[in-house]
This record gives sequence, structure tokens and C-alpha cells, in this order.
Amino acid sequence: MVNLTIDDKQVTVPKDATIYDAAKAAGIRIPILCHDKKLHPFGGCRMCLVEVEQMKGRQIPACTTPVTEGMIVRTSTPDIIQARKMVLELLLLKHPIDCPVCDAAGDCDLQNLTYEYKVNANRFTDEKFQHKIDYENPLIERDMNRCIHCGKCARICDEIVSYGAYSFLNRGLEAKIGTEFDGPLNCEFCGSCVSVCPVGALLSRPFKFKARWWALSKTKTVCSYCGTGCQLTLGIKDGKVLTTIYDENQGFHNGQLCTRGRWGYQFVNSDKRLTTPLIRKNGKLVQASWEEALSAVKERLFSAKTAGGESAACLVTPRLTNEELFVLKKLFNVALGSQNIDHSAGYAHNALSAGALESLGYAASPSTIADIQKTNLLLVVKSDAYETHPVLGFEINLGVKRKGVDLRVVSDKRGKLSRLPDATTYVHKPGSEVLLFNAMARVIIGENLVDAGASSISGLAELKNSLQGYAPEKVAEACGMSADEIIVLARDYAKAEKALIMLPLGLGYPGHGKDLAQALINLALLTGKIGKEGCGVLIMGEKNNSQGAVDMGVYPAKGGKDAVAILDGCAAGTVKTLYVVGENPVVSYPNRKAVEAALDKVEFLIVQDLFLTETAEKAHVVLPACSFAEKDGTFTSVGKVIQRVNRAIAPVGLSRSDFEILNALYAACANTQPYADVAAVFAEISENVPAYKGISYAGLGENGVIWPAGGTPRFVPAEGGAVQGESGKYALLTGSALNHCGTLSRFGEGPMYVCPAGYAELSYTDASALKVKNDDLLTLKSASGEVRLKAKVSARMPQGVIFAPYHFGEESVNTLTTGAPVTWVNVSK
Amino acid sequence: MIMPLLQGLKITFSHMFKKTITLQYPHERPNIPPGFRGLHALNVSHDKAKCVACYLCPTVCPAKCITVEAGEDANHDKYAAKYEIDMLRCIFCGYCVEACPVDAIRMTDTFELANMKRADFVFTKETLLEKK
Amino acid sequence: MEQVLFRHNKPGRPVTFAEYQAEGGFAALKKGLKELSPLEVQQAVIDSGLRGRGGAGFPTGKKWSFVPRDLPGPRYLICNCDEMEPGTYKDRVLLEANPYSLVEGMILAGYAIGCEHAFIFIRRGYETAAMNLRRAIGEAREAGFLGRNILGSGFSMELDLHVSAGRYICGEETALMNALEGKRANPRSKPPFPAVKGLWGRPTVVNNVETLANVPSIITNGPAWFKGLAGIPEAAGMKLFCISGHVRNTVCVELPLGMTLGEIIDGPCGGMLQGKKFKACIPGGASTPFFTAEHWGVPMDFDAVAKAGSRLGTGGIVVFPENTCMVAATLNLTTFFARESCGWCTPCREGLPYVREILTRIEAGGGETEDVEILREHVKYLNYAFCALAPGAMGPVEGLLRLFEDEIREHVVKKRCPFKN
Repeated sequence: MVNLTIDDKQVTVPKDATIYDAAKAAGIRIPILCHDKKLHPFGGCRMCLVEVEQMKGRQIPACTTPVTEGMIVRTSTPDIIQARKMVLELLLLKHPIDCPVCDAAGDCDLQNLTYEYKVNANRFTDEKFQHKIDYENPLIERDMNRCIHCGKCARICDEIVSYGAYSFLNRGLEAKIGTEFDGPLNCEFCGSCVSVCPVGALLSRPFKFKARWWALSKTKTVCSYCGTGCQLTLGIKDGKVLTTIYDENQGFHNGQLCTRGRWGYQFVNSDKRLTTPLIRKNGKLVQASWEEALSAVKERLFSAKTAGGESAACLVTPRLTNEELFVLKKLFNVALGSQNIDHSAGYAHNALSAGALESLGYAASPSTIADIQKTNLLLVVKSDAYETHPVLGFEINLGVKRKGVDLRVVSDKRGKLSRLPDATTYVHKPGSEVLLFNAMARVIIGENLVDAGASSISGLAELKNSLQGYAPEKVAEACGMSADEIIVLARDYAKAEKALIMLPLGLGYPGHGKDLAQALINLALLTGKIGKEGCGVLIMGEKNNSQGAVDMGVYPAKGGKDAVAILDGCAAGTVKTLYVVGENPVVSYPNRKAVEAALDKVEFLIVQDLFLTETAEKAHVVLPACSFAEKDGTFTSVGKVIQRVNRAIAPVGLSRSDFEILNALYAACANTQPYADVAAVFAEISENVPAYKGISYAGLGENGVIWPAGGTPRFVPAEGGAVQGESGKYALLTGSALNHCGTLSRFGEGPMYVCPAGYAELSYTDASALKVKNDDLLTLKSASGEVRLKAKVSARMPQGVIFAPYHFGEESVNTLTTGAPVTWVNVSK
Repeated sequence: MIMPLLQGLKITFSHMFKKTITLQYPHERPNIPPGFRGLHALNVSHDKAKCVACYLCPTVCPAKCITVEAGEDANHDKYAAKYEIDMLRCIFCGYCVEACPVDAIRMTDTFELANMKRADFVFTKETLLEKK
Repeated sequence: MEQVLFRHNKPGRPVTFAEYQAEGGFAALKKGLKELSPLEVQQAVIDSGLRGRGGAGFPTGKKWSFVPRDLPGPRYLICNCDEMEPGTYKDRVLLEANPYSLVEGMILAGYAIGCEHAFIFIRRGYETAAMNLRRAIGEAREAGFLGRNILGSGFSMELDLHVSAGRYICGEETALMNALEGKRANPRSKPPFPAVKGLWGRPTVVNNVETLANVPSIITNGPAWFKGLAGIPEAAGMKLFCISGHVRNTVCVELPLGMTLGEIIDGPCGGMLQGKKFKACIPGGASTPFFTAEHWGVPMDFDAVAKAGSRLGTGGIVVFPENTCMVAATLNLTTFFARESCGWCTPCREGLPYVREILTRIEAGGGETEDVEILREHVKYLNYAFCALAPGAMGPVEGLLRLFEDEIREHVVKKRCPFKN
């Protein structure tokens, strides 16, 4: 620790702090334009100049100068104020004074400082720049005339996003921030640059001219896309969500968001939202009143109840809040007497609800997000971890670049993570993950790298026995890796002081189920890497409340039907009433044809959703539900973090929150009083769900609470076989596209601008063999169906492997898949 | 007793020969002094309203009677797609004129704003545009 | 007069490897590597009082001593040969005549700091010098002076020549390192200083050509001899002065430090051109404040020149005669600096072009009285820029304001340049 004096205040700060940090700790504000706490110091704007007595009155920048013992700092002498005024005057020489039409006005650091330092008139005058404004893309408008050269956009894109879309061009007065070859911007469109721009040089186009900053009211809530659990500040005006607002002090991610989080909010106020209930009359869905719709639903549920409940089933999305899921489960289990309730096609939660539960004693990851940057070696299963959870991808970037984390990506294709400095990517054959990790476990046992503590965990002997057949030499061929690579990876993993495994889950990843999770947990248990900081297995649920859905037990128990069985039951006629809440099985569950047939067959289909989805179109009753912005409740995200979701706007149209609908149905069907509010449900959750014991709704606070995990681990052998290739066919892998999450992001304008439709990504070798170029139409044909997708030729795909994102309704890839980890398809032009 | 009466009559009669100050409105029009704050007008330049929809007038308006919605024109410039003043709420304080950074709004000497329907008191951009 | 750096010069051609060796070249290397320890070499340089010849005049040995020795991993030595200061051409003259002193000096310096890879960062335009250096490095390597286990001392060093893409800012040591790493030539913030965290984050020493070329003679003849070379007791060694402007001989000469300005101009330069009278000069390259006739007796040494209100800088003296408009002269210099700013920090990027703007206005007769104050303010606050470019650029402007304020005011009052008809 270092002691210093700032403006006569004694401050003690760590020795790697800068004067700026020290002043901040002492509550002294030093003005900044180019500094950002998330980025390396820059020192270019010269606003933060301070005087240090030891430097003979010379003014030095606070943001780059480290503190030294006994420093005496002055932050606002008349001379310093004059210097800052001069900096502002110089910046305003070229900066256009177009605040009335600039969207940044009101949230502009330059404007605020100009006001604060009373730079009312500029003694200096000069001509302004006439740079061409970049209107080429629909999300980010770049007006370099307004740029003040703080370099934050270029730095955040390089340091955190690791894309590198911007750089300084030219020198002297002509210096400007440019893109490659000074062309239009073409990047991931995460918008990080927009969020940090201190002026209006980078603007959000969807929000352009929509409102002034001071007219927006702000609500802090949690993003409703992936399971990362990023906190979000919504900007609201006139009951509409108009934008997301950057708040650098929010959440573990310091306000950092991805494309869908930042630009995908438009679904909330989309014109396509359902505003009234719909009832099928004469084969057509027509508008109806809530009374009419609810009484139809109630009548149906009552009759199911009388029949013993087994004829009713429910498929629910893990996008609902914990409270809604809890009430829904109670509606089915208690009120109706049905155990037929499941989510995420039954397999996208298996890693947690079966894998982790059996192996660890609790259905959750033993690790937290903070472990990513604290670990020494990071083993990421599939490069897709970046696409499924982009903000966790940023955490990986930061871990690798700032903390020197050794990144190992085990994947069936390369990805953005493979390009990080010193990252090693092991490309294996599709579907051979379990084989590979079992082989690693065998190496660890064989080379006696097993942690001493592992012997006290039950099942070690069975595990050793089960691994007999997984010698690296034997499985190398099937994995498509050399035995040496497997051995080295196993050794490095076992020998790393701290090692963390990351496993993304999702509807697009049928292979990421129970066995894979258990194979990975076995690895971590063998090497004593569970329950320590920076260690463990981080199982990343796909949706915003995937972890919560598992916590609430929204998966079949006591002989209930799982998702597949429910749909089979629909087709067979044993399930007569199907209540689909927020799920869109027609697009997201495997085997579209079979799903559609089952839904067509079921006697009564109730769909509760925000939009008239492909599934809702088949319903007998459609209930319009509310988005996350219209609700209160809690989400539980990756790493077991329970966070509060706060209502920002009133429900759109006549829509009602899922909580309101389910609460009413539950009260009617169970013949009891409805719950007073979500807090009452949360209180019941904390009584009934052991993990949530002692946690109160009010006590969650701004940053949420991580529920404590505890259980008895044991080794459970994981079975993995080689995936048999089919000659002449390509291995089709499904998964997540960077800008999308589930089927919801299709209703957000931002993600759709960047990635409007599905595609089939294939290697250059395959493309030249098939004679296809980018955007040529490819026909993919599997045993269950056929789709036509645009080709996207990329360097990351191995030969013979095709990747297609699963989010899109038209030409949806689930037409081809049947729930196997790899689908073999014929490809033709 | 008689003197006060006479004095009163004197005042009365003297007024008969003085200039009348009652204005025979509406047959006679008042002389409106400069700085009078009557109906607003949106100034025009190059055949377009000067207003750039900066939202300063609705922000400063104490009666909250101004509604502005900005639009983006073909040149990507900002303009007021909607500009409405609810004259029933307006208190004619003139803050909007003061706040305007581009001299787009002024107050005219029009003060006759009676109307038959409440809805007609919401003046739209078209009605507010200065008449040439 | 005794010559140190120019000792080996041959008229009209560069000295050859054989000639250089025959005249005692590389003797210092042998002595240093075989007889002295790295710390002894460093101590000799400290004792000699050798100061950096690139402009700042920082004691060379002291700079070396900042390099942490116990840190594992590589250390680097960089020779800054990006000589782009207007009015300065000493390194070119030196390298075109004799590249070997530099190579020898670098090996010795590398030995002293424990460097395993050294680089010469040379200005793009110096093609002859680069050619000479390339040859010299090759010959040195062949002779076993570079590479593994040099002269059996166990010390290994590689030396590479890097031709700059060309920017004035590359002469700033941290920008030079960025350029050498293949990045945009922006300066880096200090601290951390290069001696602690420099090229690729490793301890790095950056020295000027002339500084390094002086090292061999110090090792051969001893620190006391080197100190004694100077004309005054406070100074140490010889210095290359390159004089240009309105003098009879525009030459690059090696003179003892401490000779007065008058002695230099009247001596090796042979006085002013016929019919010209001395008005002012830049004493040490474009970024130094002017000297006038009143400074005729100032000894040309780092401290003495600093005391007189300027900097010895690189020793590039540019002489202006009586009929020079100092506003125009300053404008010319400022135009250069404004163009060469990297655009990183506000005062330099926006301030220098504005100073240029004001000077242009004054020179054209459109100046206002307030402009003088605005210039003064720029001189003061541009000092707090990110690197030394803007403060250096303000050197001549500061001199202009201090010494020639009347001339500026005359421009303003007459609304024209009084030197133009």
C-alpha cells in the first residue's frame, strides 16, 4: 500500500494504482475524457492533468501516473483549471457545435466538461472538418467530425472485444479513427465502441433521434437473452423501451454487452407483439377477450384434472422468471396432478439436471463467472462458447490477454477464441467429446496425476474400470486428434494449479448433455479442481433463466414425461392438452416434421407467448404474455447468480405477465387464493428449494446473490462412443450464431440487421469441391428432411463439417436434425 | 353640499370632451407593443422549418404543452416530424423562444385563439409554420 | 585539434574495416570484453561524464545503470538513428564516413547492460549510411565481433538494422519502440521507463548514434582522457556540431564541448557570409529556443546553454542573418512540427496547428495584439503534452516571444511583415 496526499486528503491505495484511482478512492473527481476504468490508461486527452509537488509544479496526467509514497497532489489549482480550459478550447476548435442535433447531447462528456469549466466562448477559431459520415451499416453511425481522439473505441474493440475494427489513421491534425482501408464499418456490431464514446462520434442508429437523454427514465434489470446474466439499464420514454444505456458500474461485466443485449431490445415494443388473446374459431385464430380465453383454458385444465392430470402436459421456456416457473410447476404438479412438464427439448438442461446432479449432488456449476479470470488454464468445450455467451467470451478475452490465462479450446471447429494470443485449439471430429475427455481422464490416472483427495470420492474404482477402453492411442483416430495431443492436454490440465472447464449448453448442442458434463466433472474431480477458486466446471445454460428452471425443478420427475415423450404422447393421443409457455418447439426442437405432426394432432394446444410464433399458429388458444421489461421477478444465471428483474414499462396492449396468467390459473385450478405478488412466491421458493434457503427477495440487492452449492460428489462413468461417419455425407453441426439467442432475438431489429437468416458454414476445401461461393444456395438433405441455406465459406470449418445456426423459422435446420449430436447430410448445390 | 356635486359633475362633463380610451374591439384593433407574447410561429428558412427538433423547448416548457418528435430526412439530418403546442395548456411564458438554439420559434402578435373544439387547440406544425 | 569520432575519416570515401582495425579500431572491444566486467565498462562510461548526444543530454552510464540486471529474460539495446530534427545531420556525416565506431560502441554497450539483441533504427532517407552499417555489421559478424560467444568472452549479441518507415515522431524513444514492434508510432506513457519496460515489455536502452560511437574511445583511453577533451571543466568529451545557414562554411565538425558560440561561428565556419550580419541562431536543432548576438559568448555545453535559456540539443546550429523575419522562421519550424505530430494527445494535435495558424496570420499581417498572449499560453500549456514533441516545438516559439516580441508587435501594428516590401 502507498500513502499519498491529494488536495490535503490522506489516501492509502495499492501500489499499482494511478493518481486518478487514488483520487477516486478519496472521493475527489478528476475530469477525464479518454480514460475508462476497463481499459489500459491512454493519457491522450490531457484533461486529468494534476500537479505533483515533487515534480516541481509540472502538470502530469493523473490517469497514467502511478502513485508513489509521499506524493503530494493538487487537482484543481488555478493553473490546472486554465490548462483544462485550454484543452477544451482546443478540442472545440474542430468539434462541431451541433449539440441540438447530436444524440449524445445530455450524455456527452465534452459538453458536460465545457459547461463545468465555463468555456462559454472559444477564443480560438478554425475551420471544422468535413469527414464523410458512415451511414453504411444499420446499427452504428460514425461521424468522425465529432471525434475527440480519445481512442476508447479502438481500445475497447481491441482489448475487450478482441475484434480490432478500429485504429488511428494519419497523423497530426488529420489523425482520425478509421476502419480497415478507411471503408465502412464491418464488425461484430457489439456496440461497445458506441457505449464508451464520450461524444456523439459513434451513435446507435436504432436510437437515433428517438429521444434526448434527459427525457429517458432508466430501469436496471437483467438481460433476457443468454444465461450470462448481464445487467442492463433500459432507457424508457412514453412507456416504450427506446434503448439500452451503458453503465460502467453495472454487474461483473462493467456494463459491457453483446449485440443482442445492446441492440436486441426492440422485441419489447415490436409491432408484432400479441396484444390480445386469440381463440381458434372455424380453423382461424381470432381476437378474443381474456375472460373468454381464460375460461376456455380453465375448462380444459379442469377436465384434464378430473381425468387424473396425466393427459395434460407442459413445455415451458427457461426465459420465464423463477417465480413464474415455480407457479407453473405447482399448477401442473399440485393443482392438476400432472408430472408432465419439461423445458429445452429435454436435453439442453440434462448436463445440469442429470449430469451435475448425479456427479456433484446438486444441479448446477460448481464454479462462478469470477473464476474465469482467476484461473491458470481454461479448457473451453467448443469455440461456440463465445457465440452462445458473448459477454463470457469477453471475460475469456480479458483473462487471456490481461491475466495470462492459458486457453485451450477443444472444439469441432475453430472460432474467434482460437485467435486469441497463445490460444491452442484442438479440433476433434464432431461428436467425439466424451471419448476425448474419457481418454484424458485415463491419461491422468495412468500417469498418476490424480489428486490425493480423489481417492476419498466414491466411484473411483468403477471410473478406472470404465476407462479401460479409452487409451489415447485407441481413441485418437475416432477423435481426429493425435494421442500425443490428448496426453499433453491431459497433463497440462492436471498439472495446472488452477484450471476451469467451460461447457456451453443449448438447443443447438444436443451432444452437450449428461455424459459430457459427467466426463468433464470426472476430470475436475480426479485432479482436485472442484471447490477451489479459479477451478471447476462452468456449465453455461443457454437462456436467461436456464439455471433457474433447473433450480425450480421444471423437468420431469416421478415418472413424468420429458419433452420428447410429451410430443410423442401428443402424436399418440395420450397427451390431450398441451400447454406451451414461451417455447417454440416447431423451430427449436429437433425433427420439425415430427413436432409439427404432434402439435397438429394434440386435442387442445394452449400457447402463451409474446409473438405469434410458428408454434402459436397451431394453437387453439393463444395467450399474449409480457416481455422481461414488463415484469418483476428473478432470473438465475450461469454460476448460480440470482438477480432481480425489474419492471420498466406497463404491459404492451392487453398482454399480461406470465405470472399474472399462471397465478390466476393456479388459483382457479387448485381452488385456492392466488399469490399476492412475486415476493410472496419467492418467499415460498426459499422455503421449498433448499438452495434458495435463507435468501429473500428484498435481500437480493443490485448485484444479486450466488446461491451456495454443496453436495457429495462421486465419480459416474460417462459413456461415449465414436460417431460413425457416413460416407459421402457431411457432418452437420447446429448451434448458436453470434448475434442470436434462441428464437426470441429474431424479433429484435438489431440482431436481424446483422444476421437476418440462417446459413450453412463450410470450409474452403468443401466449397471448392462443391463449387459454391458465399451466398450460393445449398441443399442440405438428411434422413428426416431437406432445407436450402445460403453458403458461408469460412476458414474456421474443418473439411467435411458444416455448421448451421438453429434460430430461424424459415428453412429451419431442425427439419434435418433428430436430436443426435451430429446429423449426417447430403449437400448439393 | 352643492359644491361636491358640482365638482363631481365637472369631472363627468370634462370626460365628455376628452379622447376616449375604450377600444371598440373587434371593430377597432389594438396596437400591439413589441415583445408581446402571442401565438407561436415556426420560422422558415430555405422553404423548411428551421426547427432541428433538439427538444429544448419541450424540456424547458413549464406547462409541458409542447410535443416534438424528431425524424431523419433523406440527408440523415434531424427535423421535427411532429411539432405540436397545446394552446390550452400554454402559459405564453416565452421560454421556448428563449431556449431555442437555432431561432426556430418566435411569438407573434396573434392573440385571438378561440376555437370550437378542444382538439382544435392543439396546433400542429403546419398551422404553426410562419405565414409568408 | 584532436578528433575522436572523425579520427578514422578518409576524404571522399568511408573508412574500410581493415583501415579501421589498423588504426586501433575494435581494440576497445577486445579490451572491454576480455579485461573488463560489464559493470566496469558501465562504470567507465559513468566516470567519463558522457551525456546523451541525441538532444536530452542524459548521462549515458546512469541510463544503463537503470536496467535491472537480475531479471531473467532478454534485454534490448536500440541505437536511435532516426535523425529527423531539422538542422541536424551529424549522424549521417558520421555514419557515411565511419560505421564501425557505432558497431563497436554498441557491442560494448550491449556487453555493459547484458543485451542479447540490439537494433539500429535508421531513418529511411539515410541510404548510404544504412548501406555502410549493413556492411559493417556483416564484417563485424564475420570477424567474430557479433554472434555467439564474442571473442571467447561468453557474451553473445546480435545486431540488426531496421530501416524506419519515416516519421519525425519515431525519434521519440518510446514511439521508436512501438514502430520497431510494428505498431503505429505513438509514444508510450512514462513511467514505466524503457529501462524497465521497453521493447516488447523488456528492459531497453535507447541511445543516440554519436553517444554510442563515443564509447570505444572511452574504453581505450579511459574516462579521465575523455573528460579532459572538453574545453571547460564542467563538460566532458567532444561533440559533433553541424552548422547551416548564412555562414561561410556550412560544416559538420567535431569540437570540444564548451567552445563558445562565437568561436564556432568565427572559427570552423569562417564567420558570416559576405555582407551578412548575425541576428540569431538555433543552437541545437529545430526544437531549441533561439540564441541572439548576446549569446555570442555562451559556452556550447549542455548546462551552460540551458542556463542561457536554450538547449544544446543535437548540436545542429542554424544561423539567421540580420534580414530574417523571425516570425516567418518560427512559422517554418512550427509547420514542420504540426505536420509531424502523431495526433495522440490534444495539446499537440490541436495546439500545434493552431500556433501555426496564428503565426501564419501574424506573418500575413492579420495578427491581433491578443495573439501574443494566446501564443504565450500555448507555450506554457503545450509543455504538458504526452511526449516531448510539443514542448520541443514550442522551443522556438518561446524564444520568439522572449527575444523578438517587438518584432511580432511590429507585424501586428504595421499589418504586414516588416521584412517584406
